[in-house]
Amino acid sequence: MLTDQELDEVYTKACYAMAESGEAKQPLFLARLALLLMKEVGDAGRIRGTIEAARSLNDASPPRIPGRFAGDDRLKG
Amino acid sequence: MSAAPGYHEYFEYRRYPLRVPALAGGADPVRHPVAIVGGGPIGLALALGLARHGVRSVVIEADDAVSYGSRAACISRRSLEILDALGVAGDVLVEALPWTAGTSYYRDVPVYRLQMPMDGNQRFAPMVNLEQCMCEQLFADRAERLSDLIEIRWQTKVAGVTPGAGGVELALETAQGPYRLRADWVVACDGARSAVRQAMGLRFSGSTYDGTYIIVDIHLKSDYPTERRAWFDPPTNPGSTILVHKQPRDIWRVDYQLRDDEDPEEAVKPENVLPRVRSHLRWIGERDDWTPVWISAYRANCLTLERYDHGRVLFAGDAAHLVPIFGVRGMNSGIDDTHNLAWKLAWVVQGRSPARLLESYSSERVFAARENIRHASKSTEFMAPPSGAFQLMREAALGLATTDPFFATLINPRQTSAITFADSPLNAADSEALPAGPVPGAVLAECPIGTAAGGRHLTELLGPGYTALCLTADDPRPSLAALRDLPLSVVWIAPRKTAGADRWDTTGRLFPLYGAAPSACYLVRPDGHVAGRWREPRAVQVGSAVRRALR
Repeated sequence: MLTDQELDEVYTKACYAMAESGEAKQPLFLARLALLLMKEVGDAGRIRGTIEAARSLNDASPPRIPGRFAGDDRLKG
Repeated sequence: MSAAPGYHEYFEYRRYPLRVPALAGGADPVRHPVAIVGGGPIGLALALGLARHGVRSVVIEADDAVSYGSRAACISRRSLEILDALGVAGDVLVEALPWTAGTSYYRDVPVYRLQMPMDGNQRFAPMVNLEQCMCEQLFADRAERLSDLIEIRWQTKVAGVTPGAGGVELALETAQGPYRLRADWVVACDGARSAVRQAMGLRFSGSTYDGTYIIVDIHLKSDYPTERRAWFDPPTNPGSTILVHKQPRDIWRVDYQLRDDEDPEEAVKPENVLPRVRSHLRWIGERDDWTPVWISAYRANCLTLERYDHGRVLFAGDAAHLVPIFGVRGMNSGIDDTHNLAWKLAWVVQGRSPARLLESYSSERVFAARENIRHASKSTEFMAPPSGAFQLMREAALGLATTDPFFATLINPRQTSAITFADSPLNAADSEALPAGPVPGAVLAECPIGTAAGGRHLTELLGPGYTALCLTADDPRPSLAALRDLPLSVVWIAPRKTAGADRWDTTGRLFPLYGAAPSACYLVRPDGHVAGRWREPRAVQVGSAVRRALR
């Protein structure tokens, strides 16, 4: 289990690495990171559970239109 | 400066007159031991600190009153300990609002509960809110009561700085004409746009974040408790981050982040600011009318001078370093600068220590500035993501935090805490492996103690010199008697109420907290940092540690 401080450090490292890869390549960076972490976890059951956890959040928050902020329409209405 | 038309004023400002001394050949005939440039919180705290050591100073302030506008708002526990040593904590606490907690929301869901360290050992709340301008007024009032040691020259600007080997000459400008002032030492406490720093051609190094925050103070009556509230992507300001802090006298601080596609110059106009504040206040349930007090734009800076000692000119506070506001390390780190500097400069002025002692001021406080910048940068990167990558990761973290507390720690605003100087030249070697307690370079952990005069706290026992805190069953004074010529006071704290001991561990928590099993001796510097610690008070070790500051 990561400590708060370790989580903080790896989170920041991921942010910087992603920023470095440039906006166009960010989804690919994240996909590679997901695949490499799957290899590290090495447990199909846990990976399946994690994929489901991420998917359930997709349903919870409405997808955003690129370049716009969710809620703009709400304010107009 | 004062309130804009239709705006509420923080408090009734006191205006101070210009006073020019009787001049001799265009110069102040008095040669001052210390001239402090800037009468803000840092300059005034330093003047109060020097006065505590009996050193006179003259404070040069360009304005005719304390500052106006929204600046520092939170005073940390460590700063309160320092203000107590300066004799102003009582005045501050009468006005200030103490707080310990906060809530962060993602849209309208609470995702993180901030709980600052608070337990029965503490003397002060972890944080109190007080507008900087009111804080400055309390400092100025205190300085006025010490007028034999502190003279504030209001309405006086520094136009030039001429450093020499034995002192510094300042060229001053006033409405009654210019004059020169000579001082043995000059300390620049004149803020982010320091005239002294510019006159000496010194430059900051570091970085600046692009994101802009709008900072608004308003006057609003609300009985919502004092805590820190942060909203990420609230429905009232989609894509933005909003912070709300309660301050004394019905002032509320509202900070919000501008989106990248907004023009800061347009966004800071009242017609663009006030509707956004209004919509947010209504959404969080504030129904009463309110009045604006102050609006400004802010950008986070991570900048510091490479050193703070330049011959006989020293730098402190924002004149020396700029730290992002997130985590409240601005004024608090400046107050820490003054507490580190006051005793060292006093001892140099009094001939007790060589000027070399001031090198440790620079190295310790430059280290502190870099540590503060490192922590504040993390807060800033979360509060104002510097690029799309940070924004996307934050959105993911906030979303996960709504259901999984594991991710909530990423939302922690990482509030200021005292910096440990592990590599200070003033530290004695830590060779006796005490099982607990602050290491050399750290500040004390607070703890109640019993005294014949009633309950006190450990940090109240520190005097203007070094203090040997001796946690032991036997009177330590005979062992340290050989040190009576040093600037050292010996404080005996017995494990329990004991005949002859003036102080004792009243809770049973002090001895374990300091690893005193069965005894310990902590040597503490005048600024509250531990200089050395041993299992027993021994004159050779304590004396040699104190002498590190004297030779």
